[in-house]
Amino acid sequence: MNDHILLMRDIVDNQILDVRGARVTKVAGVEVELPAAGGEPVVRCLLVGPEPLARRVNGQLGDVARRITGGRRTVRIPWSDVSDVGPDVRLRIEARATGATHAEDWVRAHLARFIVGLK
Amino acid sequence: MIRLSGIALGLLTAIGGFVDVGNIATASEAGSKYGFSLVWAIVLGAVAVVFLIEMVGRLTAVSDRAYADIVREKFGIKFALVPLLADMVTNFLLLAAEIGGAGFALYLLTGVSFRIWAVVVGLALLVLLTNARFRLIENGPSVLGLVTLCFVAALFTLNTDWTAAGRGIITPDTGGGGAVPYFYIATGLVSAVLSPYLLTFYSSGAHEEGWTRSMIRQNRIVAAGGMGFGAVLTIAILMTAAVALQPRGIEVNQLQTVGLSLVAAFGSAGVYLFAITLFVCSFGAAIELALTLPFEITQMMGWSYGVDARPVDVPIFAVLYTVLPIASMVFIAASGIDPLQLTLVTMVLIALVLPADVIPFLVIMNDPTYLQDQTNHWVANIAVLLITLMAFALSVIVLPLTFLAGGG
Repeated sequence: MNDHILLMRDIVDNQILDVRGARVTKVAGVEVELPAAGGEPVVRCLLVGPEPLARRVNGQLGDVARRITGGRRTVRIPWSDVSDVGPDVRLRIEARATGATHAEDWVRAHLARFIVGLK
Repeated sequence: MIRLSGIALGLLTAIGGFVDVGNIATASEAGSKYGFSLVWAIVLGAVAVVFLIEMVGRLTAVSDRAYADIVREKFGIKFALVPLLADMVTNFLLLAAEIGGAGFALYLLTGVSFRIWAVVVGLALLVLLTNARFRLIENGPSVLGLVTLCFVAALFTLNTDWTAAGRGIITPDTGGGGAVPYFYIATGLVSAVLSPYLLTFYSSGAHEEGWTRSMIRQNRIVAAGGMGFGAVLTIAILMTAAVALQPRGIEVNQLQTVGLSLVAAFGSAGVYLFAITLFVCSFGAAIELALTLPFEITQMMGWSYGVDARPVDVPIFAVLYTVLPIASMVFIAASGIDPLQLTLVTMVLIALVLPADVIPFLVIMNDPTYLQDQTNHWVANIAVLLITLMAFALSVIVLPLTFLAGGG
């Protein structure tokens, strides 16, 4: 599956679904490694979080995001956890195991659980 | 039978849900000031909205994705921020205008300030959004919105001179007030009928209902029939104002003046009929608008969403649909901006940002990655593109000129 994926088209900005098909977030970027021995670049992991996302909009915005988050909110999902690509990026693991659900977890814990209703 | 009832419900809700405070405000102001001569703007908006709704329904059915999800995937975060930020501003203002419109309707019935009623309306929205299921939210207010048919009835009660109306429709007449106010209202009318927020809302609804390719035909009928008849209702609002108000020299500069056309047709009952129509249409649109931005934001960011899900399962989506109506309600109640003026300015602003929504959408509609064999016909592309660019060009010209001349 790693053969001919066009990174920008098939991975970056695409939807990450966990092993049960739940929405996790969208891919903010990828980390690629150039093998020392030469040859094709290899994808190491998916990047998720405010900083890599902001950096794609604007370099300075990326710096601002880094200063605010102290680099702590950037999550790397190892390529070995990816089971399928195209058009969605499917994972072998559950959303909470990725650590990429921080935004939703925070809002749930501090805000959403206080919403009362019949749902 | 199931299919037929699906089509019937789709048609009813599309017709009943078509009119909102934007249609009521712009169409009656147009009719009261310029007679029948701005019907063309409604027709242009209607052509565009029929095409757009058909397209976004087809996109959702074939791609099994909601529209905003695709914008992010295809264009990337940097570009997707352009329509998102534009929609955040226009949606917020439009939601405030709808809350103001519903509040104004209650003011007409009670005499208590619309700003106080706006708070009640905002809280009622909140209760509905946190409790009701999507089917009720989507269909309930739309079916009630059929009360707008009273404007069609009014046309017959008022003994409309149809030949004169026909002549007026094909004779552009700026009424001696100059071209700028004429085209200001024309631009507002196109936006009000076109309602670009429907792209996200309709697509999200279709996706929540799990549309597949089998829905393409039904979607086409509902888009053409429902939106087409909805536009006829807007034309009826314009024409009642043209028949009842313009000859008497009454110009719609406040929302209560709109009701006078129904008073002319039905006597004092017209006041109640107008208040009920204004309330139902504004409140129904407010529910849709309060969900549209939460849909758009969570879809673009890849977060979970769902109207029927528990708030803890769709945390960001749920917080957005509770915070947004409160923020809009506070804005309209605290500022006390006249709902009619807010509506008109918002309509022209929507025209200004229209290309940011429509052009990326058209690019997607021609991409076989998402549409497979169902990409757009070139006629649809050209029609929507021309109407969008025309509304945009008009807004670029009339907005600065209107504000230089001292307000809308």
